Amino acid sequence: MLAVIAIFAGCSRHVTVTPSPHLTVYYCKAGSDDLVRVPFTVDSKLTGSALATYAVNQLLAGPSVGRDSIVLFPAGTEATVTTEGDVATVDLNGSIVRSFQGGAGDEVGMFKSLTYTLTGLPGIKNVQVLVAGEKKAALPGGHLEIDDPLTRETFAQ
Amino acid sequence: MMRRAARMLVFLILFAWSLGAAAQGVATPVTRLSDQIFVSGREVRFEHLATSRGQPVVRIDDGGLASLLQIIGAKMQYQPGTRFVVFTRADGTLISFTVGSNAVSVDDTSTAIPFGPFYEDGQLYVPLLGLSQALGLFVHRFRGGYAFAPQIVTVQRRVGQHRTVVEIQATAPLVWRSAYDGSAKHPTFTLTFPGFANAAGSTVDMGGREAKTLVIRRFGPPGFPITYLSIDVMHGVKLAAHRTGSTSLDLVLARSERDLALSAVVARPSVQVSTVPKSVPSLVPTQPPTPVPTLAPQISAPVPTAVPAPEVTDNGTTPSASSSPEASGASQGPSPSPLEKITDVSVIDTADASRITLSLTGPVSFEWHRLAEPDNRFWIDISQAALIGPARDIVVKLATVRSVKISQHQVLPDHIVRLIIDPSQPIDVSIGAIEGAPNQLGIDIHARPPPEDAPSSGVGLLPAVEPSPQPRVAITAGPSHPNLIVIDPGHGGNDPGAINQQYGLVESHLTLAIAQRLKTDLERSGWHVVLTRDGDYEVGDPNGNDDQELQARCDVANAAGARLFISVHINSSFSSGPSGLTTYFWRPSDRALAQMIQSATARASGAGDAGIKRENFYVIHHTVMPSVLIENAYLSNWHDAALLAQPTFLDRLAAGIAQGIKDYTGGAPAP
Repeated sequence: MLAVIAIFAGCSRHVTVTPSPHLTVYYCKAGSDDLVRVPFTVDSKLTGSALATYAVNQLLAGPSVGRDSIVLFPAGTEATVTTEGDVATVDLNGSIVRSFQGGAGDEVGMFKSLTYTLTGLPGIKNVQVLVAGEKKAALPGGHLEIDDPLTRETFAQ
Repeated sequence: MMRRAARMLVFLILFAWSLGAAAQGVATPVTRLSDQIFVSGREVRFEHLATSRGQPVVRIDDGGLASLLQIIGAKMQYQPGTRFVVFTRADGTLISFTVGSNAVSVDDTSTAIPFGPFYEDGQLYVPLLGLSQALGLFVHRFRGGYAFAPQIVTVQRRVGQHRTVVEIQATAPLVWRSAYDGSAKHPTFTLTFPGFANAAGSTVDMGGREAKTLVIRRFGPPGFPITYLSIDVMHGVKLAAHRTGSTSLDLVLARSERDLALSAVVARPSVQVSTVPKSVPSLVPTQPPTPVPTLAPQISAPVPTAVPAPEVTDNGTTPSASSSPEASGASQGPSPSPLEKITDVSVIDTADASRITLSLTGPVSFEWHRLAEPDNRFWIDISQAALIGPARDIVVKLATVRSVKISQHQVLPDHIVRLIIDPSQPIDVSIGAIEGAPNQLGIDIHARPPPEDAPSSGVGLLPAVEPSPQPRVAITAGPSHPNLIVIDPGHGGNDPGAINQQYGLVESHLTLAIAQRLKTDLERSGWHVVLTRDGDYEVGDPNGNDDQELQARCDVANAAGARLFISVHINSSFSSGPSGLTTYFWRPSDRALAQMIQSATARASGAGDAGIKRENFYVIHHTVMPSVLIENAYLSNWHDAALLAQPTFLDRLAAGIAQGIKDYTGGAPAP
């Protein structure tokens, strides 16, 4: 990362990567719905929907370090993320449209990690999940109700 | 041999305890005792705990005694006014006390205890220590209380060709949890038991091939003794725990999955999961179908019904149970009925009606149901009947009928032929014997809505002609139906749920198998039970979306006004680590139900207890009665999957859920 910064810095004084204090991606801990916080450094110019998209893509890609966290989204899951007001809307597509093969705990962990990651962004309080462009009561083959926006309180025990 | 050894140990404990104690005479008056009593780590509160001759005694009708017995799976038989108090342990051992005698018999062995049951002020008291030890519980006295718990009495190592087996024998059924720590130089399996071990603190040499040592330790507070068995294993060695008897357990250490199985399992690598219990007890019939001597009246009404959408199968071999209380009553009799054949199906169409005629070889009973608007489907189940020929479509010319199908819906435990009418708008249906045509069952379909007050289900007899004008169990929207429990076998049809390919296990099959066992258990206790599905199909419209499917399951319970809604699932994870049972609830008021089911199921099944959790799951949010969703072990965990492959484990899961329901409700209300 430092090398990349140095190269960019050498090219132009305006293309510098400034650490942003407000992006934390929450991965799910393997074998539970506990979360593992992984801080990310991003360009401070990245805001709004672009920042939310970046965060969700990092979540889908999985942690690059650490052995105790896991990606619960099925391989091939794609997400289109937009933000408006305090709501981030995540339209899930790809593998997740087909029947979700994980169990209840995985499902909770997956949406919990998504919700915590997005509501950690400035101004975002709610996460509306869409499946293939539509509101759904739950994932195909799933359990957790997702037709209403998810908040951190959704996952309060 | 092991069981005899355990009994002998109980005998010796009782015998030793009796020495030095006054064995004769009348007990001194009792004085109230405020000590805490813990049974297998759970505090049990007694209303009538007292002390006599320095020993704790308990009144025989104390709820605490019932709780103690329940925790260890024992039962008591006592008839007031008689001299005998008989207990049955979970392993079937009979323990018999005689009022006024210090003799106690454990199966065919008799020994003496300081004093036996005695009357005081007209109330019968039982000595708690003698009873507990006879029940196989080790007693630990600590300051302020007593702890009763199973005790591991032997731990033996047996080395086989490709595996090492540790045989564990206890005095009472053991519940265990296992954990694996691969971070140390030698990976360690740790099994945790609530209870004692007479060899606590010792180390067993494991030979060094699969494992190095087994260490037995005891921890825990005085009331909750915990025994740990830590096994240092070699890299690549796995562990499987097999219950080999009610009080015995084999831990198998091996490198391959094949060697982990018990020999019986090895001979049967691909385990077939039966969706029907091996021995289905005969159900007690509720009421016989109502015979009415004349032609059937109008019988349909747009009233929400509690039974699931019907399914017409193609192969006629669906091994499913009846889907409603009415079904069990209509299809079961005090003795098996002879099987009658449906030899012919014919149709007569008129301008505004169609008559389907079924030709039978003899009298049959039947029941019928209709679904509310907008579904409007109507079906008839004919009991103890065999359809000659394959499942087929019956063509009627009525424009308001999309299709009519007939099939051998069920073969086991009963032969049921199902005829289902799928209309495009409300229809009116009459069923009855056709005058002058013996053994002919006529089904008239009219292109008109049914009367507003028509019932939604009913039963009938052929040739006694018509169905009853009122359903025997009126399941309608609105008022609660306090005797009814709706069980929802998760997934089904297009959605198999989680799958374990190694064992050939499919979640939707397992949930149905557990639900059917649970239905049997609950009906035996006096409940009416409805399954949201009784075969491998969707509860809602097969062509509907997933949201409708979830809501359809809720609708079954809501429309019925059920007392409880129990959704049965099997868990799975992308990680193989998680294991055990989890019960989910949503409304805070359902926490107690979740906890009771969780505790009872973990106890009865021996699976790990992963606790209860509150989550906004659709089916427990959108049902209006107390509702929980149980995730019964993990298909993704090799140990849990091995358990789920055993029909007896499914029996225990069902029994545990039933017990939890009993704990919560106090039992089925009187009819």
